[in-house]
Amino acid sequence: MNMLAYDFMQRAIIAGILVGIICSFVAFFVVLKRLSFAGVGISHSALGGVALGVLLGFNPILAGGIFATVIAWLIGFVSRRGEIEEDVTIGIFFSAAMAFGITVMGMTSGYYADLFSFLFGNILAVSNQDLLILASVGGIVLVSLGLCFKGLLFLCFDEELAQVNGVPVKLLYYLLLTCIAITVVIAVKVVGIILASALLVIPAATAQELTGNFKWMLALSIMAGLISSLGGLCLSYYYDLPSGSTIVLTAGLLFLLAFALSPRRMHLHIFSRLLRRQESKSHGTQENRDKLPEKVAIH
Amino acid sequence: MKTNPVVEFEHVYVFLQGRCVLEDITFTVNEGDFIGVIGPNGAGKTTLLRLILGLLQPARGQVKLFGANPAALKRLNRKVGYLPQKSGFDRRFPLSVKDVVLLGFFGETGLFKSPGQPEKKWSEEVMQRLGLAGHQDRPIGEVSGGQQQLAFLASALVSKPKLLILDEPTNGLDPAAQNRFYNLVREMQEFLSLTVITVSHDLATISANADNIICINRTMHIHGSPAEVFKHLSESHIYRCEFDLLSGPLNGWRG
Repeated sequence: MNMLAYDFMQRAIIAGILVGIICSFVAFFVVLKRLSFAGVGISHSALGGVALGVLLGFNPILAGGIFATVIAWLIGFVSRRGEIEEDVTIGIFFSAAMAFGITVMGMTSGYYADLFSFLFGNILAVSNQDLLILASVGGIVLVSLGLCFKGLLFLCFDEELAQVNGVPVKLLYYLLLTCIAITVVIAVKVVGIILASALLVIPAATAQELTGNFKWMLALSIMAGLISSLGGLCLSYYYDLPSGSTIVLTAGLLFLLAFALSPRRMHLHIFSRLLRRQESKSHGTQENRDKLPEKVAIH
Repeated sequence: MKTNPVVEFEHVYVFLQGRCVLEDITFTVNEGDFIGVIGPNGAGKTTLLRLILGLLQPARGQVKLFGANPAALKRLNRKVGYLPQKSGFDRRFPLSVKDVVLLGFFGETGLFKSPGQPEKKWSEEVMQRLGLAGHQDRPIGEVSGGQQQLAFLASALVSKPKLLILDEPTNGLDPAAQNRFYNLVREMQEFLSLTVITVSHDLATISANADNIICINRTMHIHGSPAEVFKHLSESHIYRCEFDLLSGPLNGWRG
């Protein structure tokens, strides 16, 4: 049976496309700023908020979002102000937030089924309202990161140098942490809390294996995110498997493929050569475009 | 004309984690100066630069950059180019040499604008002068250490700063590359009418290039010409063991 014949599958596909794009865009900065562990920590910490939301009868997704954002800021604040290594701070806050979530879960017997859907995601249960929230909140994340793209790229490259050059590093760092927290929460319906962090790392790590150009890396990251979410969804539908795990497994397989084909490891591989040729072509075109006004001015 | 003060330190003290890192530092750097700051590892050289850059505030005393508090200077008025001590960037970072150089315009363009045609043309001229023209499209992690330093230098220079700050810029470069690097800095100093402050623990390299040297080891020991500093260091028993790095031959010393 054609999967597109079902309404819920159409919604699932749209959700998959949106989550694929948003997560892989955020992943670009997560990988470059080496915040992979922060992504894991922030996503897992959302459990505390979700459990609290279920206990208090408050929207669990919103509660999870607020909780994850607060934990993300705490991680940032303590590691920057407290002169404690970032990985240590993440290790403390994320385990404490998860422990809090499990404790609250223990107090809410009868709601376990709901909580498990938050942990592992249920893309087939995505409603029209969920899609609307996903598109609007995700849009805000994309626009915020897109507007500050240059500053964020500089921040990821060398924070001290960026600060000396006038980049508002603190503001952008907290913006990035906030975007990670929000992205985790909007990805919860699709892949769940446990696997959301995977989509915040793997697509960009896959892209980084294939290129040394940031524009190409961003484009390839988004492609990897889209292939993962749509490919995983198809696998889930046809083999009757949980969608969150098939999406992340597809992303993992894509990474392994990129790792094997990486120009860094297989200099003579035809795919790598083709990609490099394409990159140098795009550089050449850009250069020609740059030179054009100069020539006009001379004549 | 070397009359306008660019950097002024007045009895500056810095404490980091309860430890006194800089003690009673007083000096002035005037427009057009090429100053070398020397001292052994842990002497507070980088801390001194961080004060000038506004990344640190003194516990006591006053630091002025162009007559104002460096941290309070607006982005457009800073006019400072900075080359950090061996940037710890990821070698796989997806930026080309040209991308890194263009980042240097951030102070002028701000967060939301990109460098336009005049900026791109000027960055190409700077790269040409620094011998980077053939490498501009290569990933920054794939060029040699010397070329990386030149790319960072170009990035520091494209915004046409008035003050150029170099933190141990030739660390890890062979002597020929060190000389080439400082020759290029000298050329660019003349071309852009720069004031230069460079930090190093290698007196031989510094004395061959700087007009004046500031010697620190937590507190300031001497501020003078390379000849004066060398005389002072060779006569002083205190520095002999601390500055064992300085005992090498002073190749090309202009003192």
